[in-house]
Amino acid sequence: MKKALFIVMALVLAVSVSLIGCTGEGEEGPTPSETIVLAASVSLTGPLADIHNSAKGPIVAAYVAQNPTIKVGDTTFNVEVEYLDDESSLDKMLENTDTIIDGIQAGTYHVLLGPSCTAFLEAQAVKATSGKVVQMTFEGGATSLFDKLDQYGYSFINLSFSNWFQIPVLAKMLAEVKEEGDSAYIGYQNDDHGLEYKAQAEKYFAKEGIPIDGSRAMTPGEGSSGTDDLVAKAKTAGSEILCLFGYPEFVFIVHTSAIAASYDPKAVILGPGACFGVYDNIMNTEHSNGVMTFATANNKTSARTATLFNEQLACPPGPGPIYCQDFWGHPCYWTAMDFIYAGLKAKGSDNDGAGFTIDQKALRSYLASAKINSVFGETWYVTPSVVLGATDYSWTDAQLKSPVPSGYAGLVNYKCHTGEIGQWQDGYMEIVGYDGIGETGDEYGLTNYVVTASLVYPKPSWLPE
Amino acid sequence: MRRGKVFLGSLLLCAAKYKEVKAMSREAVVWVIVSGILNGGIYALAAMGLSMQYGVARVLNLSHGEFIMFAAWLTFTFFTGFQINPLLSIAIIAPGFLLIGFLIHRTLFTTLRKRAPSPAAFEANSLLVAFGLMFIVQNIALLIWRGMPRGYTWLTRGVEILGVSFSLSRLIALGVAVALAVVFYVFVTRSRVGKAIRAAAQDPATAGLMGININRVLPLCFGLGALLAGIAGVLVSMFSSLSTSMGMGYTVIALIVVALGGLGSIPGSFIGGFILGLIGSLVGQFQSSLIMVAFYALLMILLLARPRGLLGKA
Amino acid sequence: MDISKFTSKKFLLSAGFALAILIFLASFPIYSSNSEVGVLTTILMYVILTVSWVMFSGSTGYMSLAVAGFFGLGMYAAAFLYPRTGPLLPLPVVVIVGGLVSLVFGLIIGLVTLRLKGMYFAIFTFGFSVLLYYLFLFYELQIRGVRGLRLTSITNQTAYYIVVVVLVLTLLAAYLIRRSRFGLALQSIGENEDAAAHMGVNTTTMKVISFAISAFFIGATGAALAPKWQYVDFTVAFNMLYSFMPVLMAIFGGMRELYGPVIGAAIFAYAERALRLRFPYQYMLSFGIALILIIIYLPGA
Repeated sequence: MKKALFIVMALVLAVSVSLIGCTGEGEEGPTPSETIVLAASVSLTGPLADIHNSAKGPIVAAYVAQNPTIKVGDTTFNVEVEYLDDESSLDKMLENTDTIIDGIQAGTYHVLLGPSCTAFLEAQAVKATSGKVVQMTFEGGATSLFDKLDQYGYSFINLSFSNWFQIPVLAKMLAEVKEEGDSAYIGYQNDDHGLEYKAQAEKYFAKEGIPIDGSRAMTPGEGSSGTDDLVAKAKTAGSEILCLFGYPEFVFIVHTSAIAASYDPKAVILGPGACFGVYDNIMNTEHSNGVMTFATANNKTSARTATLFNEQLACPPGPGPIYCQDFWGHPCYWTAMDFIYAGLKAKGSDNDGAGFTIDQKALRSYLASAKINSVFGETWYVTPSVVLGATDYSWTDAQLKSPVPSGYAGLVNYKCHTGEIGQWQDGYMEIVGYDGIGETGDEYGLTNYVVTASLVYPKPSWLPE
Repeated sequence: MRRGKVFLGSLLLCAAKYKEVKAMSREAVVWVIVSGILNGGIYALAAMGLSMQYGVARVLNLSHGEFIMFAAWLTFTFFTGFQINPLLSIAIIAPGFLLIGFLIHRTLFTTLRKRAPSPAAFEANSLLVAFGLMFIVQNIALLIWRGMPRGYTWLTRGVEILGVSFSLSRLIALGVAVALAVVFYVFVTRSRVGKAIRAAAQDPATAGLMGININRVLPLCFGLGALLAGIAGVLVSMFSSLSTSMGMGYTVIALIVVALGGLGSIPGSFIGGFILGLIGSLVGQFQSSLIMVAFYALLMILLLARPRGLLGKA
Repeated sequence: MDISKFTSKKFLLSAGFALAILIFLASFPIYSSNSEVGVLTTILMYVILTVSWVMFSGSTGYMSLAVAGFFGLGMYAAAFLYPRTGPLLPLPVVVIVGGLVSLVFGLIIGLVTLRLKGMYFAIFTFGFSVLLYYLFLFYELQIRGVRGLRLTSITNQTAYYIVVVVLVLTLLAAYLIRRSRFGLALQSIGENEDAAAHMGVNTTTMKVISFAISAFFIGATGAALAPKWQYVDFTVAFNMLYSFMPVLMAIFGGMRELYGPVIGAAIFAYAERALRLRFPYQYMLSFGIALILIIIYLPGA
């Protein structure tokens, strides 16, 4: 018993010493640092690892590789990235967030990058707000944030999502091209993402007069049973527009189910998975041709995006991991990095050569009002002033408040986007929506959107000859 | 197994009372039945493997589903990297997994068996070792295939059955599963090795006394279980999307089928698999979120309804 | 019990030691950073879960995998009673309610599984935890239509002190049970249940009660941690890792003495964090290998 006691006592002392040793409390504010460190809690392992590996991971790596230093004052600082693995688990993500916030307050870290999914984002946002630390998000963005914008006063959301502003554009485009009697069937992932897209689709399709024949929840793990059933139901209902707001598990196999059932709808809209360059690689082109998905830019949108996709994010040849070329998210994340670097440059201080520090409050107010030149062109953050009621469908410029008011979260102004809807055409991702011009006129004021090809409706048949 | 039939029967009876079920169109009924059978074939295959491993080798192999997952990803690599037809992959994966399973039992579980103070202790320890195996197989798969896209497109043609279309690849998978089950059953009941297996299942000690080399038969059974898992994985990859975390689901399904069909009974696992497939497609027709609820509730009910546990041979 | 037991050197040593640890725990937040308090809270959480698990499974020998289920039930109880729109009850009450909810389920499960032995009891409790996962998935996504419940958040320090209180109570309960006739009865069940029944031990009642008591502390822990994490959904609440980890920690630390699970859990949780941050891709793999080696070569650890 005595031996065990001594062992335990030694252990306790060791633990407490090591824990104390780690504290670097500075009452005077952050201590200057030799390098600039961007830190994040990400899911390197676990079910969310795929998300990190295809979203924030490659973008941050590519951006920092191409912009390895930032000059502040007279000193050039190296930029580093530090990832803390949270194993796709909320409690570990929060632990990591605590560590990062402490580090930012101490001066060892300088910017907090968001975690690997929307639910984590919200939990982290609460901590970021109370710790008064800027949170720059990458993956994640949802309608559910809207009623909490005043609780996440230090968060900046960069990704586009259902009603910001994808589904309204989709509905308008479909309404313009559809033929008499065309109706839609909605398959949706059985989680918050799918539910959100389904709800928004119901709202905007109703506005544009597109009938919905039915919907089906796709539960993870169902695999082809789910897509077979969805296709069977859509075919029985005679739906010409098939929406599948789901994840790669279903997005990559729904065409097989449809072809097996001889179901050849006029339009197919698929969720995340189809917006990746690799989608066309692993489908045969005749299977992907005409498939619509969500996308914000492609190589032809502008010179900047051409550089982005052709050089900075080019896919390695041959079959391989799906990290590269996300036409939806990558331009948004690249923009986030542009904002981070601009903020660090503008509000960072080199303390006359002593090292780098940045005041989080100053960074936040910079981001709230900055207008920078990103891959979308001139871009800035806004707060939508009011959560729209049942009959409201978009925001006027006055309702998209800029600068972002103090105590509110900021979102990239959707009117700065260069696109919302993409379509695979002959193995190439074209941006087809929305240029704001149509028979119904420019209702949404999306003048920055660049359409690189017209929407093909009905899409080419994917049934074998 | 009788209880399984009773359960399914009563479920159908209750279901028939609901007007939604009565209102099911002819197509929907066909879909439920055929889809249930198609899924059931895979479940049966997975269950037979687990039945071999637990019924004879007395190892509750929690990593069973991970072997299925691993085989599925191997097939993916063979197809996308080397253009090997998935059905041909069986010829590579089956013997490979048999060997691996044999070796794993020979090294890990035989050692455990020799050192265990009692059969119950062996079962508990082997459960934990299998759990460790689960971590290992899953993480090796992660290291190899992290970030890979979730599937491949092989056969897209459809076949019409009674007015409803099904993909050819799922039908082929069913065919292979059934053929394999028949072969396996014949092997276990007719061949000499099969007789040795059944003797070892009844009573390892006595079988040993009667001249059967237990140290070869038990690992063989474990290897056969792994072989069945491997083939199930190949078949699954033909029509399903892949992920490195799909293994646990199959382990549980195999567990439920084994509980349903009776441990160590090949026909029991076979029929049990189809019963579970039918239950799944029936529930999924109305509320796909409740499929897993139904499966786990079934598992728990089966465990309670069999007072002597899973040891009854059908 | 005679007084000399309390004044023996051994008792004074261990009591003084326990006091030292208590002082350390109580004062920790004063000189530590926010994140360190959070880390220690998580470590203490694992200690409570492991000690609670050993309370039942350690003595009776029935391996329960229901820890995740009870933990999640406690979390959901807190999610409903302490929402972000405004707490409905004070936090200590919420923690107790969380414990009680789990206790009730523990009673039900205990009564229902009377005849199940060994492996099948383990599988049943495993099924219970996962069934809850899918039930709440269905409830949240198809009935509520929104995933996740948001709670009023509490600071790391508040959560820490609540967890410390729960820990002390759990340890106290475990200690008293061990020393009592109740505890001895449980041990006898673990050694030979039929013999114990023959000797007049009411095995049914004993098992059910101890199962329920251990469930209480697990649920209370879940309820205590939910406001710290401020977000509860079925993936957060019913994570099978919370069922498996306590088992491994108990095996690692040993179950014969009271401090076994405590040390096992503390070292394990601390090591897990250190390895995760340094070797995120490799540590799970080596964890599996280590587990197998431990089981094969150190059966009685």
